[in-house]
Amino acid sequence: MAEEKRLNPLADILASEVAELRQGRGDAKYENEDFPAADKVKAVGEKVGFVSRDSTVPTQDETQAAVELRKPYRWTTGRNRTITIRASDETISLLDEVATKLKLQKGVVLERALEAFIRETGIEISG
Amino acid sequence: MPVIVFASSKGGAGKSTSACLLASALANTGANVTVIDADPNKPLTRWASHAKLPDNLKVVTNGDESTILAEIKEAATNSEFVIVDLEGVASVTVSYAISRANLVVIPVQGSHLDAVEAAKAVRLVRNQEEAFERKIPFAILFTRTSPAIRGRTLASIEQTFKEAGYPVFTTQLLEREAFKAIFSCGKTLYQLTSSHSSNIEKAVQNSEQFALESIRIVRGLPVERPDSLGQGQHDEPNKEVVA
Repeated sequence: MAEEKRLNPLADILASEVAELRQGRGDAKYENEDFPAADKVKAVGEKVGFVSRDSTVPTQDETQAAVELRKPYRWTTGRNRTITIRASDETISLLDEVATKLKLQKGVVLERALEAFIRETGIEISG
Repeated sequence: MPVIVFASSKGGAGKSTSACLLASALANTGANVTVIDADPNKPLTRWASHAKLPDNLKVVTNGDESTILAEIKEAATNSEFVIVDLEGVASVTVSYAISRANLVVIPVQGSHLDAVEAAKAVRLVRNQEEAFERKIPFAILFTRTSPAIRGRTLASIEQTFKEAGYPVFTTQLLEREAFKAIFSCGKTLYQLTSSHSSNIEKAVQNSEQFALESIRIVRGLPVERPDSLGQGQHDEPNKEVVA
């Protein structure tokens, strides 16, 4: 292609410029030796939003940590047993009323009632 | 030898077309040219697979961001010119390529969307210049401009770039049928005939003006107005396209 006779003066000027540049082969400014390291280039690019598009696989530790973070929320009171007590309608109504007024569960009312009863009577409770 | 990188984080700005034109113009002078196609859409790889390229013009396909530096180094060792066509996103591949560039060409169509992305590329170039104390020549290239009308938006963008101190190519790549025919016909600009497209001669002149300006920037020479370089290269409006 280059040997064809040129009718376009611009092509001759371009060929001349390219030839002069080619003759300067080995010019230090075209060598790749002094270029910055890849990690430094990457860091500079990331500052202005030029980021990696490669997908990354999380390590085992990262995966485990993510799973642990997703554990469902759970809070326990320790009151997980059921008892059946025979009582009169009035006692049951009274228990309901106290629990409602104090905004406490009936199990908590029972615990506090027993603590007050023990204090009041002074009985000794083992354990 | 020189590495010339085409960068803009906006797709469709004209990177692949202008890279292809520059590579063909340089190869036409007899120089050995390697094009690295680092666009995931592989437009130049596809083009090369259809085109019968001259022996001194080669297109290689970039693997991924981890290989681009090695590919540029190898191409620079084996070729007189390396042209890198980058993807239209802000990626680390762009950073890597710019770090090895002797010229960064930033194609821009006459739209503010393109201009904003061009500014990002300029910011990256300047950050690298500052961080590594290395001058990286760059210039904005207006592409697909109208041969007949200079719109207000384009004028506004040109003014903005001027005020920001961005160097701009005096040559603009006009909207030309011949530039499209390169890809649709699978040929270099120099292989096109009148059966493929009209106005090929003007398209060649337009392309070579751009190539000449690029070489002068790489060589650190002053860039003159295209119409001061001699006869025959003045870029007349592409009337045929307008019609």
